[in-house]
Amino acid sequence: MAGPSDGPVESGGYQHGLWGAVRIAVSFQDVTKRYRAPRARPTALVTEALLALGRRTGLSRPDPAGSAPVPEVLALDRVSFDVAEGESFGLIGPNGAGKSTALKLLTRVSPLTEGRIDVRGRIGALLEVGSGVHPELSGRENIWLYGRILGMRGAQIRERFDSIVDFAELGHVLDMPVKRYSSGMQLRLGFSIASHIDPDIFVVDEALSVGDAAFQAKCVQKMSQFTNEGRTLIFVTHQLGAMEALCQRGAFIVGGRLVAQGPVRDVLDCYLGWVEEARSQVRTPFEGSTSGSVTLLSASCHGDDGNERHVFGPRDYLEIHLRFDSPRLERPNVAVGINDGRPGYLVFCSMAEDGQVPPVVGPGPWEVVLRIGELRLRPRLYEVTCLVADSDSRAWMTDILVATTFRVESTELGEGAVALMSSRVAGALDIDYEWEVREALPDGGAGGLSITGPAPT
Amino acid sequence: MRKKSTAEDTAQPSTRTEPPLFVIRANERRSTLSSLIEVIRYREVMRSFASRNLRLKYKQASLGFLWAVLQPLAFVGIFTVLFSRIAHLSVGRGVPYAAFSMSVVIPWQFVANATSLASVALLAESGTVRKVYFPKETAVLGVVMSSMVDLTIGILLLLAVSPFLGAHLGMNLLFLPMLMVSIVLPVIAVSLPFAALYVHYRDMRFALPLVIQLWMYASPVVYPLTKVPQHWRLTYAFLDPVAGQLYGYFRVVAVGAPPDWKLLGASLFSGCVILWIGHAVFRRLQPRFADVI
Repeated sequence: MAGPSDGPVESGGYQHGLWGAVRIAVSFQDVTKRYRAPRARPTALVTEALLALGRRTGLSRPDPAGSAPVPEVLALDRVSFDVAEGESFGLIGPNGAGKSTALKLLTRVSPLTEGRIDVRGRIGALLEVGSGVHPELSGRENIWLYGRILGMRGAQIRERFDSIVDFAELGHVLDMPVKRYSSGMQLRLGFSIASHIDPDIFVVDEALSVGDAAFQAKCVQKMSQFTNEGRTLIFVTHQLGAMEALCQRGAFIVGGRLVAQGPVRDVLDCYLGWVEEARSQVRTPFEGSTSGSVTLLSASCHGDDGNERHVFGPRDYLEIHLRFDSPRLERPNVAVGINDGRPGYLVFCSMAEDGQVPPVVGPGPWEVVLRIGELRLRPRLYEVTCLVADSDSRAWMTDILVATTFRVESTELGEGAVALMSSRVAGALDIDYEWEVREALPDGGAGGLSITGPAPT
Repeated sequence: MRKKSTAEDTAQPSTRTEPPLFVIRANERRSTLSSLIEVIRYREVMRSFASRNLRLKYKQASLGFLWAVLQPLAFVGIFTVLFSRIAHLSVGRGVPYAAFSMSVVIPWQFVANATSLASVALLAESGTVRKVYFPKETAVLGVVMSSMVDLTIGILLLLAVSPFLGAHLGMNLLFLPMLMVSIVLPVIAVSLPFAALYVHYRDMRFALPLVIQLWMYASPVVYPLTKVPQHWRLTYAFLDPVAGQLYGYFRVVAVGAPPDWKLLGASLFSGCVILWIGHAVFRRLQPRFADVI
């Protein structure tokens, strides 16, 4: 996929964002958003309309705190941040923090209550799953309708139509009403339309959670391609690894307030700290195993000294401790998957596959320790997923959940731009390899392959 | 990947022109003029809405466009039996009641159908309203535009059937296109505030049919405007923004005379006033559509 010619293009993309003439693409300035709670009495309509008319024409003075204050919900509270042109920016925070609200204000779907937002460039947005799709229309009609709404001209839509369909991989259902599409298919269509309007600023909200693995990977690739082309990306996700891999900077929002902004790693650190604190306060971090038979009590990562740690070196020793509570179980298969937020596990360790299923555990708490001799992972954040299954029926007895996270940091590269670049571009695995550059063999020497072009020097 | 990159290489940062700065402010209120400009800028969207509505409207109806013909015919039949045969209402000027009824029911059907459909346009478009920015007027106007196709079918039906009902047709039919355009104004004027109110107050679901029904009896649809005393007619046309147009249809397609310009002007004037007020209501309620819908 990545040919040698991609190299300079990619570094060009970064330069543009980090060291080039930085222009601000999006600037939130003290943005506040309050939602009005629904009105209690419908008759207020008439009164309100009359009062408004009176105020406008100057007939009635603004009511002196007369009417009861309208109950309001504060969704964003004086939020300010800048996103430079060509930068990829991640918004992170718990559900209901105001991330989606921020994106709705940015895309002018919803009005601001206070403050202002400066935008430079055309925005392409995917706000919800299936945004940019109308259920009654066919896929084909949707592309036309939303292409138009998002500002494309007829000729542009015609020109890009095939590429939209190709990207969404929906050629076979193009004339079917979208209401018969699955949500994943709707996401494909929506993402494909939004990403093909040639946006300067691409805004994506939680899109990755619905698509299948292949499409998630495709979306991530498309988004990094956008940033490499010098476009701006604003991105909301709960997949921390994807955030770290895609974003240069970010902001962390809780309860409508901006808690932190800066380099994405610092923001993620701050977020993880907050999550850990929130968890330790709740005290029951992992509720709800599907069948109720196995509960994950705690999960932690430990270094070679046995102490709990969060940060590891690329070749460090890692122990994952998992504590469970369950009734008596025979031959439970515990599995641990490690990923970097992108779809699919990088490492998947399963007791059943390794032939190490314990004959019996429980009743009561029991502990599993997974020892990994050498991580061989590159710097970034990793998520540890933990599963327990019945070895015979293969049915899961826990929810598939991210049990804990750890971060790999490299001491060799140190902090700064180089580390940032390597963490964004590099693959996750730290395998051993070496390079060799040598003179090419003369014509015909390479097993009958004849090269007609000028010989490389 | 690779084969696409040739096309995308042209979109490299170096060739991208500097996009203009756009400021989103709090409590933005659009002026009538800027709304109009934006609607014109989004006219393609409006056309898409219109063609979409047209396709959806008859998509799952097996009789399809035939309904645009059947509906007015049924009403003409009912009114003729009720008001001509039973109530013995006469139209005068040698025009049979059926011919009068035909000439006004078809434009009225457009007013009633377009208004009730356009008033739910924003609600029907709630998915889009919640996810994408667009000037909301286009959704309402798109529905009105698609209803004009029904009106055109109706007018063709009118021209085909009227001679057999005893209508006098002549050169005055040249005024018909002008009448078709002028009947759209009051529909837009009324639909804009109705659609905006519908988003905020679902009471409209019950109020709207009632309002349209009352409007019909207040308008010269079942009785001709000539039943109104001469000195009240101008006031009447000022109060009812469709009266002048409907009377015009009656005169052009049933009597065979040009429209009454004074009455038509009065109705158009009041239509403009209502449009201005209606759009003010719409603009006031517009910003919070996405939050409320």
